[in-house]
Amino acid sequence: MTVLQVDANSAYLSWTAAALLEQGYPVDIRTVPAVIAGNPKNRHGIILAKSIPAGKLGIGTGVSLFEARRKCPELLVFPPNFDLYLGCSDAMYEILKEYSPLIERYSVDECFLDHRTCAGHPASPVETAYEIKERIKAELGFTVNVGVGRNKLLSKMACELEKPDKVHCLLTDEDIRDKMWPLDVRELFMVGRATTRRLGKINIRTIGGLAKTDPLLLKAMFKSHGTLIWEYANGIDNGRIIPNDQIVQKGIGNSMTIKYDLLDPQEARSYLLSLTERVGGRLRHHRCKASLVVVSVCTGSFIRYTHQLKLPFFTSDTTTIYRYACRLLSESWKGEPIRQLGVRVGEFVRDDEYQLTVFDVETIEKDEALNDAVDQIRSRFGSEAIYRGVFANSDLNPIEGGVNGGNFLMMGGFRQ
Amino acid sequence: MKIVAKPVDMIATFSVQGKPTPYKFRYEDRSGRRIEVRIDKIISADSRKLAGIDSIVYTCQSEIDQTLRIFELKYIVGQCRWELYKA
Repeated sequence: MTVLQVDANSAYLSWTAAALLEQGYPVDIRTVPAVIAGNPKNRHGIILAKSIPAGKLGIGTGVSLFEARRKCPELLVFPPNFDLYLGCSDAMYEILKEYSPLIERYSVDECFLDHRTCAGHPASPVETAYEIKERIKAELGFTVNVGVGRNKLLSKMACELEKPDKVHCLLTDEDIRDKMWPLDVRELFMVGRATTRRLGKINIRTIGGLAKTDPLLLKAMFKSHGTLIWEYANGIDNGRIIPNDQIVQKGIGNSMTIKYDLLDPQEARSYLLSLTERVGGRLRHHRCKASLVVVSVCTGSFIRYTHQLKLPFFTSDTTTIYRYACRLLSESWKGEPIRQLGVRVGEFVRDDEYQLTVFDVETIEKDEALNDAVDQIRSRFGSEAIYRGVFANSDLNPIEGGVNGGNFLMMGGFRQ
Repeated sequence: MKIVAKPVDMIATFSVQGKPTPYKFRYEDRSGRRIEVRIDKIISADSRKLAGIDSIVYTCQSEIDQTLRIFELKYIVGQCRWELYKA
């Protein structure tokens, strides 16, 4: 199996740059310190993407705009345009579809494709990789990195090696030894800050060091995650390329950061309802029913907690989920200022094979019919064509959560 | 030619297959004067997808103020909008 991973270089920024150049913007923002950041007034002021010159000044993705401006006062800041990004991602996907029918859109800017299925293209994987890279640059106006590997993990690691506009291969054991093993262990997929710290304590600092460690020691330290990262360090990954419509989702959730700190329980419940509207809609769209409801809270002092409840039945009804979410909130919330609220559902069954309860068959059928009608109206006339009375004449959106009003491709390749 | 990217009023014809052909457009110059330009000749038409935006760029030739000028017009398909792209 040979897998190609295509990853757009500083995606949001280079897509914005390509669109700006088309509109006659005088500079290519990829060549100067520039960032894409949310609006600080709505408390979304963090860096979403940075140009390579901005990265060199120590501005990282996820830091606050305030901090970035302190490091570089002449920093150019642009707001995100998610419709543009989705358009760029779709255009990139259209080009990739010409090479292989088996593609996994891993996120808005990353795709895996299986080279075995590139029937019409008998060229070697590396030739195909170069062709894809050059075509995207010429036709779409932004650069990509292409990683060629024996499996998904190696193609992803290859993709991250050196940026921008490069093709890298991790196909043989020598490649893994020479290119991947000298890297810092933090660079390995699935090794984060906490794992790096713990590995540092047993003197593992490079991927090679991790690969040569006894897997039993890692399993004792990190449980199954230890085995996973040991396999990854040795270039072992049996993950298949799964087309996005076959990805099984285990949970659906939405959250939102509120412009100000919430203190009023009634208002908190309204936000919870607008989030539940989104979650319920997505749940029904997936033709699932859930039996687990989770409410998550982030307080003004950045303390996060969640509270969950396993239901004795399965439901996809917005009102029912909302009722339980309210109960969870009132049980867990002690009145501290809320910065971020979230609702999540899990433990699904397909909506055509669930266990009915004897007592409320009629109400379930009525609720289903109502939800169906609401969903149909929303899909035909827009998500705000019909909404609950509580939201009338209020500043609150009747449906909250999700990037770009729910119309965006998220990490893992599903839509919110 | 320099990128102008200025929206213009346009009269265009659409073929049975849906392909647009610009005929005449109107724009405001720097002094606010409205100028109408009839397209005398279309030299080339290219479909493009830069930054994922579907567009057709026409290289055209017209006589403006008794000077023969070459310029580019752009039709942005998704927005059904015309622009004086380069002049």
